[in-house]
Amino acid sequence: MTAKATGRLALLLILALVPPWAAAVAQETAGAEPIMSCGDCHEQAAAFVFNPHARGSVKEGVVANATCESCHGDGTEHMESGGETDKITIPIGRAGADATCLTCHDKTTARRSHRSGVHANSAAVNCLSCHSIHHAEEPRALLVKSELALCATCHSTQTASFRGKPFAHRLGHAGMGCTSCHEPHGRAGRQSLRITASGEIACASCHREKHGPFVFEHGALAAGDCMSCHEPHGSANPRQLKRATVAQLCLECHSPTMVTTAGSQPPSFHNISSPRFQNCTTCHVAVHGSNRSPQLLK
Amino acid sequence: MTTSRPGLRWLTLPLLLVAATAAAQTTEIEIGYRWLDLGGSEAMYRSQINERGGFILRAFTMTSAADSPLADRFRIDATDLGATPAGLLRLEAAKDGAYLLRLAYRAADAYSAVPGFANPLLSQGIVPGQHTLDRDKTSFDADLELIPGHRFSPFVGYSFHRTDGPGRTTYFVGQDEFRLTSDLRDTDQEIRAGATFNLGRVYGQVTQGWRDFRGREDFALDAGEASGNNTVPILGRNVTISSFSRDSRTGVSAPFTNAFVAGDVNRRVRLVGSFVYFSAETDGMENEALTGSFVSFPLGRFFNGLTETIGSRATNETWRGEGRAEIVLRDGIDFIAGYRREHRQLTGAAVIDSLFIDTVTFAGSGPGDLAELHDAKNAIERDDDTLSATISARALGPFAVRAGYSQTSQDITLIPDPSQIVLTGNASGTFQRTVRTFDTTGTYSKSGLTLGASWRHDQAGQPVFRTDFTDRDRFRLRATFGRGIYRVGATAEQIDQTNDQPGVGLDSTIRQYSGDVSVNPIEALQLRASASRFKVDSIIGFRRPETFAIESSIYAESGTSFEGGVSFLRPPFTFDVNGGRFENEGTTPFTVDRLRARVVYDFLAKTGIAAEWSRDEFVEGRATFGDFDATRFGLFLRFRP
Repeated sequence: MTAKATGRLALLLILALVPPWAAAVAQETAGAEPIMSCGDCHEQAAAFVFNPHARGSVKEGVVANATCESCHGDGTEHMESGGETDKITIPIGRAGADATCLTCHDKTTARRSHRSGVHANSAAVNCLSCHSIHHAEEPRALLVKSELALCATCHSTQTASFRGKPFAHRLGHAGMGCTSCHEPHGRAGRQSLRITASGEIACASCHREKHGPFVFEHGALAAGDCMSCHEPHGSANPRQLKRATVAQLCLECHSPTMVTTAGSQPPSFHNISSPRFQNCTTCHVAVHGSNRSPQLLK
Repeated sequence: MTTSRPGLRWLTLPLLLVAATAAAQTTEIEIGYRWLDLGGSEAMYRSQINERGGFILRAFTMTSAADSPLADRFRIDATDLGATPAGLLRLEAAKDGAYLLRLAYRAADAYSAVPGFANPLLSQGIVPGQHTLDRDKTSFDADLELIPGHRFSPFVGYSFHRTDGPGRTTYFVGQDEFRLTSDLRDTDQEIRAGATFNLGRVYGQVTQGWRDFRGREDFALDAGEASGNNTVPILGRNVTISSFSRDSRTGVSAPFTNAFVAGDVNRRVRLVGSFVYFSAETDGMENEALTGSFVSFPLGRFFNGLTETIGSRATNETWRGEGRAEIVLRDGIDFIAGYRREHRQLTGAAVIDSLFIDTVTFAGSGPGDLAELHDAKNAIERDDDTLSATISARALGPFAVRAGYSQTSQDITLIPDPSQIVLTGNASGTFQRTVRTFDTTGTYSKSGLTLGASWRHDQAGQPVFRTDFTDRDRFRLRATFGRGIYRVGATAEQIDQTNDQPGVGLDSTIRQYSGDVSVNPIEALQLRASASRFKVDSIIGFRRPETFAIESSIYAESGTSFEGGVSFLRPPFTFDVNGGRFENEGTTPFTVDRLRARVVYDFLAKTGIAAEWSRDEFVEGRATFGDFDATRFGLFLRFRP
C-alpha cells in the first residue's frame, strides 16, 4: 500500500473514533445507576462486555451475573461470604474444561473433533492451556498469547525453522499464522490440515493459480500434493522446495531405474554438469501444470 | 508499483457506520515512520524480508459494545498497513440474534529476485536469476451470517483475490532459452451461500459456491536478450530471436458443494457424515509470434519464425465422502472409526496450431513454411480409500493415551498424451499403493511436569513415485517442567524413511532437537532462551541423464539455531529485546543473524511513543551475491483515546 493510501486510512480511522468517544464521555459524566453485579468486586467483569462469552447478555454496559455463573456456578454463597474463593467454581485444567468449555464447544464438524482431535482435552493439553477467558493476550479466539508464541510452546522445532530459514511463509503478518493451514481442533495427521470451502488443500486458499485444472498437469500434483515438492515450514530454497537445488529435487523422481514408478522417465540427455541444465525450471517454467505445453515449457 | 486496493475502500464504509453507533469502546492506534539502511544485495533482502522504509500503521484496534439497532458489538483490527510486506484490516460486526458480519482485507507483496535461482549465468557474476517477480497480492473476504445460533441460520460469503504485476521468465524455443518480461493479472472470485442448521441432536451445514478465475499474462522479449542463454552455435547456426509476443488468457469456472451433518444417536454415540463435490473447467487461449534463427530437432529443420495458436480445455471433477462414528465407551474414553473415499478425474485437451516459417532441412533442402497441428489429450483418474479407527483415553488421571490405525489405498491411472512421454513404459499406466499407519501418543502431566511421546509407523506397498517410502517411522518426545519462576522444555523428533527396492535405495533421516528455558524473576520481567538443531541426511539412487549411469543423490543439511530475549513490562515503560542466529551447513550453507528491540514509553496516560530497531544479516556460505545487512529504525506514536 502506498503512503498516500495509508494517510487516507489513518484519517478515516480518526474520524471513526470521534463519535463513539464523545458518546462514551457523555455517558460517563452523566453517571450511571449502580447495579449489584459480579463487576462490583471483579474489575475484569467490566472488560468482559467485549468478551464473546458475553454476547447477548450485556445490558447498559453491564454483563449479567448469569453469564459469569454459566462457568463459575451459582455465586450467591460466594457473594454472601464476602468473596471466599472456595465458594465459587474456578475451572482449572482438563476437569475444569470438561465441565465448562466442552458443555458448549463440543460440536463436531467434517474436519474438527474436540473428542478425538490431536489437542483433545487432557491433563497435558486442554482448552485452558491455549485459551484464557479473562486474560487473553490475543483477543481473537481468546488465546493466552500470540498464536505463533503459543504454538511454539510445544512445536518449537517448527517455529525455529520458520524463524531461522531464509525462505518461509511470513507468519505473524497479515493475519497469517499456524492456524491458517492447521486446524488446532482437527484430527491427527493430514486431517488436521484446513481445507478450502471447495474442499481443496489449504495452499489453494492463497495460491489459487497453481491449482488448475491444467490440460497437462504435473504428476507430482496429480498423484501427490503440494508437499510432494514443497516444505511449507521454511526452506533454504527460494521456492521453499525440499531440496536446495531444483535439479536434485526433479531428478530424484525423474530417473528410470529398475522400479516402474510414475514420472520416472528421464529428462532427455540433458547434461546436468552444464549450468544451463542445473535448474530444470529455467525451461520447464510451468512446473505446476500447463494448458499449452506437454513438456510444461510455457 | 502502485495498484488500487478495492477492498480497503469497501471496508472503511462499514467502519464509519458502525463506529458511529457505539457507546462503550476501547481503541488503540500505533502509527509512525520507519527508516531502512540496507547494505549488500537488495534483491535478496526484498526476496526474504522486504520490510521497507516509509509510513506504517503498525496497529489499530477498536472494540465496541453498544445496544443499538444497527450493531451491539464490533471489532476492527488493522496491522502493518503501509511500507510492509503484508498488512491486514479486519472488521467484525454483529447484532446478537440478528447477524454476524466479518470483513477482511489483506495486502501482500510477492517479490523474488534471488541471485542463484534459475540462473545459468551465475558463474559469470550475472545476477539476479532469470526468474523474478514483483507482484501485489490482494484479497478481500466478506462473510455474513444471519440469525446466528438459531435452528436455521443462512449465510453468504464473497472472496476476491488478485495477483498482478511484472515478472521475468524464460522460454525454451529453437534449442535456446530466451528471457521474457511478463505482465500478469490474475483475479479469482468466489461467492458462496448456504445454511447452518441445529435441530438439537442433529446439526450440520450446507454450502453451495462458485469460483471464477480469470488469468491474463502478456509476454515480451526482455531488452538485450536476443542471443539467449546458449551462445554456442547449433549445427553451425547461431540461435537468436529478433521479435517475440505472446498473450495468454485462462478462465476457470468451478462450482462446488460442501455439506456435513452430525447427529447424536444418544449420549454416547455421535455419527458424522460429510460430502464435498468440486467441478472445475478451464478454458485457455494463447497466441504467440516470434522471429529469429532457430533449430528444431523434432522437425529436423532450421526455421526463422513461428506463429502458434493454442486453444485448451480441461475439466477436473472431484468428490469426497466420509462417514465416522464417535463413541464414548466411558467418560474420557472414546472410540472413533470412519471410512473416507475420494475420487478425482481430470481430462484435458489442447489444440496446438503451429506454423514454422521459412524452414529448411538440416541438409538444406525443402525450403518453405511447415504447419503442424497437435491435438493433445490427457487424463488422470485417482481414487483414495481410507479406513481408520482410533481409541483415545484422555482422562486416566495424569495420563492420556491415544492409539490409531488407518489404511489408505490409492489407485491412480495416468493416460498422458504421447507427446509427454520420453520413454515408454513409465509415464502411463495404473499405479496402486496401500499405506498402513499405526500411531500412538501418550502424555503425563502432574505437578508442573509434562511428558509426551508419540510414535507413528507407516508401512507401504509399491511406491507411486520413486521418492515414496515403503517404511517410515516418526518419533517425538517432549518434556516440560514449570515451577515458580522457571519453565524449561525439551523436544526431540526423528523421521526415518526407507525404500530398499533395487534401483531406488531411499534412506532418509531427519532429526530435530530443541530446548527452551524462560525465567520470570519478577512478574514484569521475562528472560528466555532457546536452542535447536536439525539434521537432514538423505540418499537415493538416480540415473544421470547425460550418461545414464546410476549415481547417488545425496542431500545433507545441518542447522543450529540460537534465540534469546528479555522483556520488561511495567507501564509506562516496556521493552522487548530478541536476538537469534541460524547457521546452516551442508548442501546450502548460510548464516542468518536477527536482532530486534522495541521500547515503549507512555509519557501521558493515553499517549506514548514506541521505538523499534532491528537488524538482519544474511551471509551465504559459498557465493556472496546474496549477502545483505539491513538495519531498520522506526518511531511510532501510540494513542489510546
